[in-house]
Amino acid sequence: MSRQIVIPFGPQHPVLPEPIHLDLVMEDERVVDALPSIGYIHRGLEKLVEKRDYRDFVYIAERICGICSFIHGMTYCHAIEGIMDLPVPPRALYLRTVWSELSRLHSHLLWLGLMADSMGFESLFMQSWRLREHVLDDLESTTGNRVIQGVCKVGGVRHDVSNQKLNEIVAGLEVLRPQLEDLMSVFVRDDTVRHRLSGLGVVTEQQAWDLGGAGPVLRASGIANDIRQIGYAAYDELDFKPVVETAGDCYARTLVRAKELFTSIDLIRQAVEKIPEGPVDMKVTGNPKGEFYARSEQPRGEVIHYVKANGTKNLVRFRVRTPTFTNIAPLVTCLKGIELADVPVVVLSIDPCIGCAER
Amino acid sequence: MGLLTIAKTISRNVFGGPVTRRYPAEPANRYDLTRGHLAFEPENCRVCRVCMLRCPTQAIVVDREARTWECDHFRCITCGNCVDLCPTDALHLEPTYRSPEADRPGKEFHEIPAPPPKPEAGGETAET
Repeated sequence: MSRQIVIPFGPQHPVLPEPIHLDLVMEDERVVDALPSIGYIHRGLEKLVEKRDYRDFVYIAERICGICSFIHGMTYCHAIEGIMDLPVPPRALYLRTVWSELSRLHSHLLWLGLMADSMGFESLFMQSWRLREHVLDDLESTTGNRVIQGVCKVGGVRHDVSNQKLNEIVAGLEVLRPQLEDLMSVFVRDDTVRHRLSGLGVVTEQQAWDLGGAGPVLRASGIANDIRQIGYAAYDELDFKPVVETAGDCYARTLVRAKELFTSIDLIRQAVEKIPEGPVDMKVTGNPKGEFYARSEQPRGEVIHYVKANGTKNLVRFRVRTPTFTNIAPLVTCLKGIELADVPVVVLSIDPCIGCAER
Repeated sequence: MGLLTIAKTISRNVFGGPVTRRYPAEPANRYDLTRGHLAFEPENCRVCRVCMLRCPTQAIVVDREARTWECDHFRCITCGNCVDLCPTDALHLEPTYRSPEADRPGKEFHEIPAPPPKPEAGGETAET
């Protein structure tokens, strides 16, 4: 029997964009166990809810994560609107949908770039991020910022976007589509990518379900679970199918995200076609009292915001369950048995967002 | 076919110019909505303190007695909440970014001029 040693991996590691920490129990070059520990960048954002006005906290909720920021802000607003039973104007819901999908586009392009970078495919990384800039420009011109949009508020959104601008965004995305297809064809067909990712870090369908995987991790293992189907915001009026792969390996997770780019473009086009005229926000008076679970689909999976309020302007409890946190369990499972050199790629394949996971 | 493709790619890369913007020779993208930095106009301020009370990061400190307004730009997240709430348009967002600062506290300090004397002075309201 070979001797076991423990290699600390992270929080600082050259290939990691996020400070995840794993103690890898190794036998020679093979991982036999991985012990995650979290809390390195805990900021106590959930506790802060007791000190801030519930209407202002949306800007803090957005800053839980720097990539899926808009969806955090939107889910928090859904929770407050759910407690107060606010009739949010439909145009605001459609705009939220458009911005959610633009966020998903930029998040997936960022991740595809990082994935290419982690396997040493630098030019693919640069091409992914080059295309991401177009999406970020659309976000900045309509919301005022590139990644922390700060455009959602309780009862609607802060800015309207003209129909002309929305049509320009759709036209811009249609120009982007062939370029994304080019990019995707590299991820799908290139031998380097396939050789590096196929059969690596497999999570079976049963494991993904039992361990509570979320988002692309679940969908890459053959489970068609997409919270957008429950129809929050304007998703109930849009037509889409979750992207599902069955292999459950890193390659399948890459494919799911690459294909979701096109789902997002379709959803934006549909939303812009159907968007109604009208106001984009409403006057919110009074304070919330009660509790609510709001769920939505982030680029990384299902996020849950639980909010409890007691009728004052400060909330009593705010709890976020982020997709990265639940995806750590499938990650630990699929790390067992792989080689040390594959660890960074497998860790990245769940799209870890430790900022989200530790708040 | 492969050679033709690679020849096209090479010629595009050699003669096509850079994809990225030549910053700072070419200015960065700015839009009307871009939230660059917070700007304060003391002459419009009525010292109602709503910006201080509703700031999510407590970056703004307003002193009613001393009639001063202070913003810690290291704390400010440029969310624009104060701009939306300000009843007298004393605050607005500029699309340009502030130049980098290395030393704390990085505070912006303003003295608010006293309002012109009026026969019937309007009461100041503190909205919470």
